[in-house]
Amino acid sequence: MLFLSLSRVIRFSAQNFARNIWLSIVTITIVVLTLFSVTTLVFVNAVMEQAIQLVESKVDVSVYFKPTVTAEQIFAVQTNLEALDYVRDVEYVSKSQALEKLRVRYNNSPLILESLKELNDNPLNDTLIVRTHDTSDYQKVIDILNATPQYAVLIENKNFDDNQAVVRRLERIAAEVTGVGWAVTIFFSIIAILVIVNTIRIAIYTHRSEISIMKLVGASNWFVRGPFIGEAIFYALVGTLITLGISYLVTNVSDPFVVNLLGQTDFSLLRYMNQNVVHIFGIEFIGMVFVSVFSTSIALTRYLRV
Amino acid sequence: MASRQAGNSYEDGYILVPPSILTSRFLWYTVICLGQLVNSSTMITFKNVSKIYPGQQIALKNINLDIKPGEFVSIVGQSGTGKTTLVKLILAEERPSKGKIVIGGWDITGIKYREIPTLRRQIGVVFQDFKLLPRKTLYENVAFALEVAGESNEKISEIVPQVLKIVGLESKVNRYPTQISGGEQQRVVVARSLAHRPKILVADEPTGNLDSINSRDIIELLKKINDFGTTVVLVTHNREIVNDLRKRVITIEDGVVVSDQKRGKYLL
Repeated sequence: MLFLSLSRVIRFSAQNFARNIWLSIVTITIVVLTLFSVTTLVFVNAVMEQAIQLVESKVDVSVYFKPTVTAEQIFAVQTNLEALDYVRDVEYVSKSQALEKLRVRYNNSPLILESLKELNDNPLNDTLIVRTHDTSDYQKVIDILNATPQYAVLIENKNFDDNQAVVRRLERIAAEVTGVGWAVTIFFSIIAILVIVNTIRIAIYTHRSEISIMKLVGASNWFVRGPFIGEAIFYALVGTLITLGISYLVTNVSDPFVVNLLGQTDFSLLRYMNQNVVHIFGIEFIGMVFVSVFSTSIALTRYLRV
Repeated sequence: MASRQAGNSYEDGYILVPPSILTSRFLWYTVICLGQLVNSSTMITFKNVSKIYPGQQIALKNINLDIKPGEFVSIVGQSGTGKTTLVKLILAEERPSKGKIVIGGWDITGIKYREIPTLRRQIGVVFQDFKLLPRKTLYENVAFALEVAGESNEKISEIVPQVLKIVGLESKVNRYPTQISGGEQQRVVVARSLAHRPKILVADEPTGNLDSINSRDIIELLKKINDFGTTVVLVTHNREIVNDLRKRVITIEDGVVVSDQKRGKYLL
């Protein structure tokens, strides 16, 4: 009996969906626009996050050691710094490596290369390049280097002070961008929910006389509600699948630009989508089912009292 | 004779079956058989029924009615006298403000909301504005009345062509309501109301939107249905139809029954 009723409800849902094709198309268009807006914001947030990570990865603290300091002393400092849990890595650059890097970097500047040739000794120092997980932790590294007397005697200079202002600004921008990104996503989601709720309300309103007829020939509330809820699930399913298709298309087209924009990172929008496809569209589908079923049930309630 | 059920206020010899009784197929079958055996009980009873809408608008005042099984009753009156309210009370679309309503032995005065579908599945209804489902074919419209009652697909495919044949629409089963005439639409409604073999058929101004030829066809159909033993309640203000029927006529004026004649005529 339950199976019979369920099969009828599914059949009626499919019939309503097909026989009211224009209303279905309009509703699905709204669903697709809504989901695509949300998907776009998710992608923009992902790209922004990558961009921020890229800039953050460029920030480090360079510790220049005095010429008299031995390699063992430097390695001891390196080991101690690496032991800090907020330090991501500590790279040792010997003064000869530093000189080589300088030569490579200024390969196209004959003036600098000539100047370097004229020097008898390597003017550069052995260096430790310290990177932390979070940019806010750089100050902690500086504080430790300053507060530890046995380090202070070894270190000639630290360049973090120059970057400190940039890092602070970057942190502020990153926090603002993330905050604004989520605020825009939430704002758009609320608008999208209101649009969907209203679209479904109008769809139900157009069928109000049909609902009263069903009730008058003895249909239970569940029997009336079932096909409308089924239709709402169809809208969500078809809308999500179309959005998925469009998103793949847009991602394919825009991926070269994103890869170019983020250059040195290993980020690809297409790969990001492939890795998160179930997550993103699963949540969108479930959310859309929840919103459409909820608004269908609410919109129906007033017409079921016949 | 069926006995009174604890917790329910059934009259002796109920004919319509409240959902609380439908506990098993066996019981349901037994009740149907008992119902068919009872001839003396009334099919529709209104005891001192009043309906007052908000704003103290009195639609019906102290209505007392007894309609027996198999009767053909015309309820007449001018527009706004409370005829449609009476139909709504039978279908539990409205609840009485005062009094008691018993349909087929089932006291529906305080009917629970979830019990209403069960009541309506046992009453056939024909409306002036047809009330066909526009997105369903004629076949599907008739089948729908059986589907809501949980009838099997085999039974539906057996009954629907039969009732559509009775009303002469067997060749148009796949058309939609908008593709047929008003008279044909009303015949589909009659077919739908017959599909679940109701004990009562209520027709609220069934000829209101039809020409005289189609009106006569519909009334002939109602008479035929009545001949099979179904109680027919015809609500109308069509003088000609009522006078031709020569059946019981109840006249309502300003919400009050002013006349009840066994073989009556349109008085107003």
